[in-house]
Amino acid sequence: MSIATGQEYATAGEVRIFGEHPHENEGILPKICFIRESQQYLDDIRAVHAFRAAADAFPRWDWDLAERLIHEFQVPEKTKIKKMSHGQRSAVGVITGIASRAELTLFDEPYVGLDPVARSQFYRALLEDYTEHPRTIVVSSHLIDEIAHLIENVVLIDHGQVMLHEAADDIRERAVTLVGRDDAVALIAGDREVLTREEMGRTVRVTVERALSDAERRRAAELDVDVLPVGLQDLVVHLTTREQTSSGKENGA
Amino acid sequence: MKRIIAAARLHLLPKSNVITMTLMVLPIAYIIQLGIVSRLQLQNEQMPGGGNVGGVYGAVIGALVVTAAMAGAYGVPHALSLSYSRRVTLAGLVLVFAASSLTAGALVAAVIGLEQLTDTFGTGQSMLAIPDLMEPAGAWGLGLVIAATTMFLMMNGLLAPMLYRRLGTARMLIVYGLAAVVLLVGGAGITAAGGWGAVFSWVVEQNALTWTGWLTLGALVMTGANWLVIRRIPAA
Repeated sequence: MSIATGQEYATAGEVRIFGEHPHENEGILPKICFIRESQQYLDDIRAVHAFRAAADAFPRWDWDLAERLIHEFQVPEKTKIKKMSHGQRSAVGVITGIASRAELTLFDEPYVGLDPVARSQFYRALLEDYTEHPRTIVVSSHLIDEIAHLIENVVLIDHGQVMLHEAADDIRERAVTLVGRDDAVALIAGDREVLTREEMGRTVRVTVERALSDAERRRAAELDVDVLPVGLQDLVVHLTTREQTSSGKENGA
Repeated sequence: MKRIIAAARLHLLPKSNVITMTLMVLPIAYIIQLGIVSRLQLQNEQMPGGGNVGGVYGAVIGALVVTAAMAGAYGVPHALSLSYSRRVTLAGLVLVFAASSLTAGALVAAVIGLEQLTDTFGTGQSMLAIPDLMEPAGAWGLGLVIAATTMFLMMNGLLAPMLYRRLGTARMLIVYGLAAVVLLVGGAGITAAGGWGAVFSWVVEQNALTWTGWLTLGALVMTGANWLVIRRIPAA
């Protein structure tokens, strides 16, 4: 993210944003807003100053939106940022990122320190503003299920390697969870690859690859097998665990 | 240019900033020094060393150099986080430092003018005038020297925290150590060549305007050094 926003040098490879190299590119940089988990501020600066600075820096800054979010997140504008709680500092970053309306906005774990209510407010505000003013928003997060309803594309990076890059809807259709009697679940699962399996007496809970066809869904209903969607986080964990296992085997061979 | 002004404005947002610092520190330091001089005069004593200029200049320039260092430590990362490029970030700092230096110089010249009008509030001892640097342009010439000196030292103040961010403590100390060695070797070379007399003659020949020129050149060199460092420092 730092390299994509022109804040760090690339040691290898190439990044282009809006078709150009972002580093020291004043034609591109005002269109990019990057909010880190630990955003840096001038010493002794107050929240109101941080917002004024952001308004100067981002040409599409929206003061009305910023003021509404300041009120919603209850940010004490006159308080020095260094005296704020972690959550309040995160709220300043979140408001800056949303109100910047930058054509490319990147959030790196922006919710750290925010309580669940504030996190929910952030997701809602982000989605609402994105709906009214569509733009590219990248959210880096370990809380995949919390942001699952927001995202259109998933890029999963592990140790610098892209493990997965797919549309969120496509990923959701890549697996399904079946709950029911052992033999009935096995019948519905057929030759699908089993990602996880939990047994509770005669009842099993199996997550298998590939969505069910309409005919398979009807058959599952007849056999009293519950068909459940798989959470994006669970699915990502299953898929990456499998990727790691298979690459481990390849390396070991 | 609009982005450079915006990057400069960032450093002026808090009430206590690089320009208001001069406006706050100079009157306070001046009043303290005036009080000390007046008290000594009441006791029929004189300031040690005779001159009265060190305290106020030390306080003002010292405060500004510390403010410049703070701008390097906190202001640069903040500016970079707002998607300003490194060159715009540095240009914004140079602009605001120049404004601050000129403010300090103008304030010094104005206060010297006030001293001349009031015989330094009846004490007869100037807190700011440096006669050798008031030729050929009077108080305003001295103001220019102060502005250039302040700018040069502020660019030095800016460099230290950025070197620290770029190199870490150990390598930063090595850089400053090497700079000190170069100065010492240069001094030793001049001593060995018996050249100090020529150096002092050269210093004595300078006036306010030539000092302003040399110090401005020094500030430009330091700006170049700051550019070499800022272009490679990590943003966070």
